[in-house]
Amino acid sequence: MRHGIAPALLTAALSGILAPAAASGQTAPGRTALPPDAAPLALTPAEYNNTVADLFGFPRDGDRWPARPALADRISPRREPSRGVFTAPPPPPVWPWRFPAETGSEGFEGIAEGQAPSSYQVEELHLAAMHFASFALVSPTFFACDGWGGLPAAEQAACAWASLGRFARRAYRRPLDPGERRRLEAFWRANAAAGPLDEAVALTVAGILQTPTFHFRIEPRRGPAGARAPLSRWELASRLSYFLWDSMPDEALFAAAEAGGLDTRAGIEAQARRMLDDPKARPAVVRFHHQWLGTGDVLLVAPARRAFGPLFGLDARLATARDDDVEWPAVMGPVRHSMKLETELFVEGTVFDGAGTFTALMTDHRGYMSDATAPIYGDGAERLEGPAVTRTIDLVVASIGRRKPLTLYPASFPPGERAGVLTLPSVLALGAYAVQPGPIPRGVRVLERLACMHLGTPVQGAETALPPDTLTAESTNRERTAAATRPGTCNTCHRTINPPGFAFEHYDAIGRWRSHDNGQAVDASGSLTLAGGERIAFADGVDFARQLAASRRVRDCYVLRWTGYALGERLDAAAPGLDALQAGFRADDSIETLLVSIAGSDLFRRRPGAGATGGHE
Amino acid sequence: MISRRRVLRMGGLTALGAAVPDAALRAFTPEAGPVRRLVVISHCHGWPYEGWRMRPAGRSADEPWTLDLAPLAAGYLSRALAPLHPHRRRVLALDGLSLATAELDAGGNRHDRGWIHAWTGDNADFAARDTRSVSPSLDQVVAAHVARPDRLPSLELSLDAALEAGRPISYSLGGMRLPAERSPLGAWNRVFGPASSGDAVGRRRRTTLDFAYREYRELAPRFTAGERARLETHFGLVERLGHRLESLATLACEAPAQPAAEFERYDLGFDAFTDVVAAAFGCDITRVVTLSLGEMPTAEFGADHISDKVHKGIAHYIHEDPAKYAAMTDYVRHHAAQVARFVSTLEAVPDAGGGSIMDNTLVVWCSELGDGWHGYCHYCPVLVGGEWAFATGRYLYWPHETPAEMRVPSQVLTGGATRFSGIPHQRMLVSVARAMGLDLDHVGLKHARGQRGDFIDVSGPLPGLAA
Repeated sequence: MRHGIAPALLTAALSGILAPAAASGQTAPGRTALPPDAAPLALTPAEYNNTVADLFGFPRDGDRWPARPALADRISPRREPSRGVFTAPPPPPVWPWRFPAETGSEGFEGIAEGQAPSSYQVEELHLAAMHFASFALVSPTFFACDGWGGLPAAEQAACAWASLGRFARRAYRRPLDPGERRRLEAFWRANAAAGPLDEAVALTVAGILQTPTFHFRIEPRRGPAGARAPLSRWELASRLSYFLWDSMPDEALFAAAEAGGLDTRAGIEAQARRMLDDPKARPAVVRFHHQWLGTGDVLLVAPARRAFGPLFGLDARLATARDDDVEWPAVMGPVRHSMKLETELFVEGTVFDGAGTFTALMTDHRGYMSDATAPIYGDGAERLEGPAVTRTIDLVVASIGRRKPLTLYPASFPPGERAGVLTLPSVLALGAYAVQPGPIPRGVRVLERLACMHLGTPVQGAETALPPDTLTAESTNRERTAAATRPGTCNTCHRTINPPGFAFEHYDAIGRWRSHDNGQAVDASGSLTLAGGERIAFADGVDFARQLAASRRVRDCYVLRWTGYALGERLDAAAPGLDALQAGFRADDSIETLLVSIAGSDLFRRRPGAGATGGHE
Repeated sequence: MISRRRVLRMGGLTALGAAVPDAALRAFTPEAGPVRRLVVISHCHGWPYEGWRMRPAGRSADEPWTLDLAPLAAGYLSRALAPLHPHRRRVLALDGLSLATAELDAGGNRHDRGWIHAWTGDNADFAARDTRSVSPSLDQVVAAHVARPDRLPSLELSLDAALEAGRPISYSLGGMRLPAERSPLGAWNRVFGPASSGDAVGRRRRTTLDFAYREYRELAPRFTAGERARLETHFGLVERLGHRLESLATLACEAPAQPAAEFERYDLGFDAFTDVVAAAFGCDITRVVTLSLGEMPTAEFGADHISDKVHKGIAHYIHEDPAKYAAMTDYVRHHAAQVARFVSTLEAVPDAGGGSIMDNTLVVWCSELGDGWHGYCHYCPVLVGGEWAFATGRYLYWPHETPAEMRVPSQVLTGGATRFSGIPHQRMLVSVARAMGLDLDHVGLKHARGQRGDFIDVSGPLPGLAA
């Protein structure tokens, strides 16, 4: 693993000191109680961008958006494209806007406690609003009349105001109250009086995109403190759409909300099923799994050329010291992108097109590969019938930004080598250093993300005790790691952390299966006790993954993660109603059913009361 | 427009005060002490080490040592550093650093890797359309701390000549390249021109913030205190952004003469940028400036008889051709003269609390590479100013003892790699950040692994710099 991602991952890796309660198996999933007075959720960067695309009726693909309207240069602060140093890079897409990442909570965006605002973020929101506002003029859905640009001025103004009112209702995701409508009209009229109508439209749209009602999912509390009060129809529609689509409701969901179709559990579950059938659900479900596994960072993995160059037909070292290494980035760029896309296609295929079960997610030995990652999978990989998927990837080689197609095709891997998400090269390469695999980050990933076990802070300087990340040594990586963590102060926790990491010693730092390490047969066996007392003994990573798939602790954790994500709350394991969802999932195994059940649960349809009143019914 | 007075009248201050982070509020309060400023100057192609370094008699290469610059006559400074002699009491020349983590970063062009590591202290992200950083650059880290909320957080400048542009050295907190003003006139316009002086569209743009803020005030009574705290923080920042735009638009400050659109000589362009920066500092319009120096025409430093291109004509061949090594020494010497003029200009501008602007400014002069061969082995920062934090007027030397192998030409070392590097330059970044008032223990990376697997701690400040 490179240290670029180390701040997050190595910290996790080194947070290998289990809290005593966890070490004794007493830690419950979820550490804190539900915040009694949780804050409104801001749209995450992905939600913001998706919402803007849906608002304007453009695809979620910046290359298919129209060019930035000329008006944008009049009303937006100038943001020059990079000229590059040696050659100009490809121009940035007009969509999405690149916001700073959220601080996050346990790896997830969209959780209130991980959404600390900053002046930088607010400035970016302003710039984004000014940038996107001009697209209203070229949007296929914005104007309520045809040929707006050619209309007489009076008709233009009337149509613009009608269009803005309709736009605001969709942007606010509910009807405007009379006060809001009055203030919006005053803002529009002031803009129209101060300059050309096209500027006035864009400035009014920019204002709307910066309001609290657009940028936050406002769900004012009502009812007595301590009780969960029902959400309004409009609030529920928004919660549902951001849960399953990472975006605003569509017209059908708005209509269902208006007609009372979300007032019953059956009604909301029917909408949830409809929405899961919509293509917009796919990237949203994939995004959850990227956050669950931490694989969103895989574009930053950096296996060393000196270790893996020969695997891709390159010398381990440059021919001469003077050469600039353009070969390795040219290899690794597609490899990293392929790893990310393989993860996405595996999750999407498993959840939506395959068995749709947690068991399959954790154990299926089929997936996707590309020519870039074929050396990682080796001769055991077998290409399957089925449509190939081609995506355009970005990478920088020799200081020049390039765009290339990358084709992935379905494949089957030896069942003894691959089993579900934990043996994806993305997950394995993220749990590795430049040369050697990292049993500690791999073990921490399993315990924290899959088993909801919470690890404490490592002792000061623990990272310096890790074995050197070398190509050659007298022992195996497992032996070196075990020796480094053998001292009593380390072993208290590492006896729990190391086994789930050692389970994946059959995979090197780039995720390739290996039978031997440093000339010795790999020993990937072990056992551990999960919090809650479940004991698992395993022969290797595949065996371990299969047992985790059936683990009550792991399944309950998966439900907890999904439910907290749906609510935007760091949910307590004892939250009322959660146990029913967990029991259902243990029996049913279907991920789609789980998501529908979450949508229909009281947890989802209600939020804590606080004695306040207000809101929009 | 949103105004501070209005917030007070609406009773927003209490809630805002409760929610806005301390650092943000502090920035609203006039400083009790002097205003501190940071200038980052970065040139291309590093330093020819032998022409930059100083080796007074009797000093060991195996032990750290310090040389007091104050008593030295002009001729005692190295050829590359000599132009800084008039300012030697403000200078800290740091000999013994490397861009070690850039060497350890995998892949990518060594220029790109260099400028990302040099100024962010972190690895580069090559899996995008354009090289990106993983972390923000030093200037942005500092700007987030010292900027006035009602003024420009920072000013990014790039002196582009006919050949290669200034490197993108400034990266936002989101890891994006920040665009730079590429001409003195562009910089002047941004700081003093119509874009910042209340043009009609600019005013109307600010009304969008005003509208959003007003909508929040209307909604606020519907929320519980806990809900309101989060929104108060966000919209307090919206209010401050509007306040900043308004303040810049109505700023009363004596602008310098508008610079020409183009300059015949690189030096004149540099000096015009200097004048804009000095005036911007004098008016406290910004407190952080980056100046990325693009490739200088060879005629400017008397090497046009060798080549008309620094990069592909001279820099690449310093270890093969002594004449080109000498030419690159003159190239760095010429940049040193520019830095010296920059310092002199700031010294001529009085600061509000007494003394000169330069007395409260720290100039960090570095490069993207160790040398023109694309080496990272010898990285040679020069700090000028910052006397409030550093014991200046010194040349500091540390032997290379960090367990990272650095590529060097085989003419320099058989095998093409050293076994050890200098101190990772991140520690210099930490020293600068601390001098600017940040309580940081690392900038970018915290640690790395050498090629032989050794753990390398790159956190903490450089030893021996503090006053």
